[in-house]
Amino acid sequence: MHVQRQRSIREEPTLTDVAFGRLLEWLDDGIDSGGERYLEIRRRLVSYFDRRNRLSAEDLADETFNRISRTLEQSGAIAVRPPARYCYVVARFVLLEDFRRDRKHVHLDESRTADRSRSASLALVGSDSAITKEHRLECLDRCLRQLPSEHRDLIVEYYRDTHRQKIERRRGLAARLGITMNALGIRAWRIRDALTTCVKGCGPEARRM
Amino acid sequence: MPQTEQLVPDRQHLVRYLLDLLPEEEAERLDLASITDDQIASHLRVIECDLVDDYVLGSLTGETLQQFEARYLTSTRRRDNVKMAARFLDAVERAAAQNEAPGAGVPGARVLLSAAAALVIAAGGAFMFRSAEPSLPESTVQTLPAQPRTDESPEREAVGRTPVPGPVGTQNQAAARGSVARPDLGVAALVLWPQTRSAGPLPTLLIPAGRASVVLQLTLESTPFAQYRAGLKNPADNEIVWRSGWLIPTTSGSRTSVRIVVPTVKMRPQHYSIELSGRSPDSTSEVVESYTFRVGSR
Repeated sequence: MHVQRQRSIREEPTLTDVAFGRLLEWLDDGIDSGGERYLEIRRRLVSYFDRRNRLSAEDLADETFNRISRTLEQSGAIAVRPPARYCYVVARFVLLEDFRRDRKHVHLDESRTADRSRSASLALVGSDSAITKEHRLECLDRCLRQLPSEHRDLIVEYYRDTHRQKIERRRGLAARLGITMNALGIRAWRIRDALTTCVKGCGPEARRM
Repeated sequence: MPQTEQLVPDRQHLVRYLLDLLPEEEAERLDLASITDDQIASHLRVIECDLVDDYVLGSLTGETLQQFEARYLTSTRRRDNVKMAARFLDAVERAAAQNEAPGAGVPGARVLLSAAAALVIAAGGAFMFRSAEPSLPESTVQTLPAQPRTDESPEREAVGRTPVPGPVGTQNQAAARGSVARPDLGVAALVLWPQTRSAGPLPTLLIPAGRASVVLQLTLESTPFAQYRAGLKNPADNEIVWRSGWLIPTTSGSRTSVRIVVPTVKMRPQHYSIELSGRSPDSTSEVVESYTFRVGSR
């Protein structure tokens, strides 16, 4: 069922290398990011679809890029700028089509509340074996140790404690580093994101952390 | 990269967006901004991260908590984020404990909490842990099931229910067999059994000077609930002085327990009780176990 659904989302085969290269160049919009911009926009698209409770958020993000790529191939250029705005326009169509596919089961006006269940939080409780759990924890510790010490110290300092203590600690940290609280938050998040990526690379046992 | 002309929305507004509480028109405006505006995209991530952390730490209350559970947790991807956050915060806590420990930085000190040189005393059979007691006869060692190496792994454990006249606990047992040599890092820990099964003297915890937190492992008789939350109560006035987040119990061998890390600033030399509540799928909760112990003075 899920496989069929994925096939229905992907109307066309995946991108050719040439088409993918053109897509990266278009997304970079004149500033070579080495593929970073693609990854960043893809991440935002996945979050967008996920916030709309779409089950196949990653597939929908890829479908968005596939369509943009086809347009680039057919038209040679896309006038809408910046590229991210055009991505949103296409993503919105992809989203609406996905809603339409679900229409038999879900009314459009219920789309934002679809797939919601009070018991969903139960799924938080893993039935993981002790071995799997240990693999994950070992991986997390290993990834944490692999961080440069200044990064490790920063996120330990940033994410520890709760409530007032946490706020005061963050304020002090931002002052020591000479940056704003917002900049500190983004810096800490990026390190944490790198840690998450490291954990995902640990192996099948750890990927579902 | 392009930015919207408007100011970045405040935190509360973005939280409402993440919890799907904004009117459709405003939500769509932020949908667009979340993809086209670098600044808003970054802020959203930071705020989402904090929101999830607050849930894990039990800091969300009222409508925010309700909406988080009713709306945010409906996606598998987001539920995975919550699970990851729980483990990440646990790792941070352990790393912070290591940083504060006198032996921090000792090469090879892999297990942050488990290498603790705690000063745990069971009243009545008062004893003080040391690193290893290789010559200790096995009969004097309290046998506990082997534990995973990090998560719930203790530290130095004392079984408050049955004090014995010598070092006890998994690490000590392994050490007694000459298989483990661990540095002393100094984190206090205690295994507690439900009050109904505690026939012996009150377990006593001595907190080494300078410790920021102590680890308490709350053993469960059964696990009818998926998540548990602990409240540290001062029996003198029945006031809850500290509360944990919602925690998932872990099983090691035949023992299932919930591990909590309590800030030492919340504790003074006196008796304490811990009330453990379980949460049902419909979000109602009830107290399922209670534990008692004493913090001793050094």
